Amino acid sequence: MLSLLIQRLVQSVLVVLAVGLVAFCLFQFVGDPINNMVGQETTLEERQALRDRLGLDRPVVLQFYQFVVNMASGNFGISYRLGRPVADLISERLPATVELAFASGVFAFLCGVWMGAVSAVSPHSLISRVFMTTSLLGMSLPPFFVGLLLIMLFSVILGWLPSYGRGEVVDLGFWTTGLLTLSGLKALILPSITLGLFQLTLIMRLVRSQMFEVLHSDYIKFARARGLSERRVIYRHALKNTLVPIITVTGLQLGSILAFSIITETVFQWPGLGLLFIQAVHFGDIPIMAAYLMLVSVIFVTINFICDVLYVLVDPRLRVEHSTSAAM
Amino acid sequence: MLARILDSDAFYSFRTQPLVVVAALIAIVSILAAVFAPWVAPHNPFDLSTVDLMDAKLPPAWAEGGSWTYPLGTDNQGRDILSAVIYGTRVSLLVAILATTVAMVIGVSLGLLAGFVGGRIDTVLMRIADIQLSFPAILVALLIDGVTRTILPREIHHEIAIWVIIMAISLATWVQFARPVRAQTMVEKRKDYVLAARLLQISPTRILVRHVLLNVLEPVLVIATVGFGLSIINEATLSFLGVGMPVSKPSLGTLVRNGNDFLFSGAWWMTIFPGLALLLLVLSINLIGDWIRDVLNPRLR
Repeated sequence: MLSLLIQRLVQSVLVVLAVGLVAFCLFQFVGDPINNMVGQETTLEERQALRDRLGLDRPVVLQFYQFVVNMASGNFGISYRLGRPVADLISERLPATVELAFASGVFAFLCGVWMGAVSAVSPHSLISRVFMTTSLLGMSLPPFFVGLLLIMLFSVILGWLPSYGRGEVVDLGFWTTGLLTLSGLKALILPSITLGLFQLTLIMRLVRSQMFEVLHSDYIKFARARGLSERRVIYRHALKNTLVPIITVTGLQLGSILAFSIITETVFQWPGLGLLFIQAVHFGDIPIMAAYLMLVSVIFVTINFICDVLYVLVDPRLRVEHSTSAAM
Repeated sequence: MLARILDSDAFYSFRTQPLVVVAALIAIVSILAAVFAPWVAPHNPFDLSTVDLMDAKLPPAWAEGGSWTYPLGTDNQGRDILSAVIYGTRVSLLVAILATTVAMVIGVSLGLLAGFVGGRIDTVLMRIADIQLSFPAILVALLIDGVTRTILPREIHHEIAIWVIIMAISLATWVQFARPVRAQTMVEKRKDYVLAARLLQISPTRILVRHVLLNVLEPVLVIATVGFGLSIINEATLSFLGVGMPVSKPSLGTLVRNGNDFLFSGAWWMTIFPGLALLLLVLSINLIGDWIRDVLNPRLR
C-alpha cells in the first residue's frame, strides 16, 4: 500500500511540474517580460539591469528552477493589467470561488444521490422518469444557458433572488464569507445550482446504475429475507455500498467544478478566481493566467491523490489486493 | 438496397423509438437550414443596407408590438433574430464538425501509433494524455485561445478566430479518441490476421492503415457523435465567454452573449431563442448518439 502511495505521489509531482513547464513557457515565449513590466521611457541600461536582477539572461534550466521556487513560495509576479501582486489578487478572490464550489458540490452530491437512489428503486414510476429526463437535459444544456434561464425565471420574472454578485459579505480578516448574511446566502443559490447541475446528473446516473447492480446481489436478497424493512435495506445496506465509487467521482468532479466556475462566475458576475482568470485571458495578462493554471493543477492533483487514498481506505479489498501483489 | 435498410435491426430500433425519430428530424432540419442559410433565412443579418435601427428590439411576432416581418423579434441593432439564429447555427455546426474531425484524425492516428508501436512512444503519448485528461477540455481550449490572443495582433486574431477555436477545441479533445483507439489497437495487433499479414511481408504501415484501422473504427463512431455534441457546447461556451467567434461572425454562443446584456431590459428573446436553438441541437445529437451506441453495441442495453 505504501508503494502505491509513493508511486501516486511521484506521478502527482510530475504532473504539477509539467504544468509548471507550460506556465513557464508562457512567460518565456509570449511577449518580452521586460517590456511588459517597464514603461516607454526606461533606458536600455535600466532594462539590462532589470534583466540581470530577474536573472533573465541565465540558462533556461536555471530560470525554470527559479520559476518553480518562486511559484512554490507563492511569488507569482505582478499582474500586467492591475499592477498588483498576483498572490494578493488570488487570496482576495479565493474565498468566493471556494464557497461557490463547496455549495454546489454539496447540492450536487445530496440531490444526485437521492435522485439516483429513488430512480433505481422504482425505475418505472413517474418521478424517476422526470428525473431521467432532467438528467438528459442537464447533459445537453450548455452550462451558461442554465444560468441564464435561472436568472430569467427567479430574478427577472419572479424577482426573488439576486442575479449578480455575492451579496453582503463578512470580512473575517483572512477570509471573506457570504455565508453569514441573508443576502449572501440568497446570492449563493442560483450560482451553485448552475454550477452543480452537470455534476448532479453525473452522480445521479452513477448512483442509479450502481444501485441496479447492488439491488440484485445476494446480500440484499438475504437482508430482505431477514425481514428488514425495505427502507432499511435500501438506505442502510444497498446505498452504503454504492457510495465508494461515488466518493471518487464526486472528488474528481470537485476539480472540474473549479474550472467550470469560470463560466458560472461570468454569468453571475461572481467575484471569484474564474472571473479573474477570464479577464486575464481577455487582456493577455500572463502572470494571472500562469498562476491560475498552477493553482488549479495543484488542486486537481491533490484531489486525485486524496481520492486514491480514500479509495484504499474505504474499500478494504483494495488494501488486501495491493499488499498481496506487492508481496508476490 | 433500400429494402435491406428498411428491414434492418437498426432501422427497426429507429422506427420504434419516437424520441429518436424526432431528434433525427430536428437535426436534419437544423443542418439543412444551416447549409442553405442564405436561401432559407428571411433576412440577411449581415447586410447593413437592409438593417434598420428603427426596428431595433422588436419583440417576437405573437407578442404585443411584434410583426411577422421578424417572426422571433429583432436584436439591439434591428437584425432579425430568426435569421441570426439560422446563420449562427451554420457557424456553430461548421466549427463543431471541423473541430471533431481534426480531434478524431489526431486522436485516432496517435492512438493507433501508440497501441501498435508501443514502447517509448506509447509511454510519452499516454503521459501527455493523462495530464491533459486531468483538466477539463474547456480550460485547455481557453488557455490555447488566450495564448494565441496574446501573440497575435487583434485584427489578425479576428480574421482567423474560427481556426483558432477549431484548433483549441480539437487539441483539447483528441485524448477522448486516442485512449480507446490505443486500447483496441493493442487487442487487435495480437490477433491472427495481423500475424498473417506480417508473414505475408505486408509493410507495418499498410497493416495499420488497411487492416487494424478498420477494426477499431466502431467505437470511434460513437465517440465522434458524443464528441460532436460536446464540441458544439464547447464552442458556444468559448463564444459566450467572449473568447470564441467574434461579433462580426456570430455563432449561437456569441448571440446568447450579445443578448445577455439586454435580459434585464425585458428583451428576453435576444438570449432565449439562440439558447433554445443550441439546446435543441445538442439534445437531438445526444439522443442520436445514444441510439447509435445501442445499435452498435447491443450488450450495453
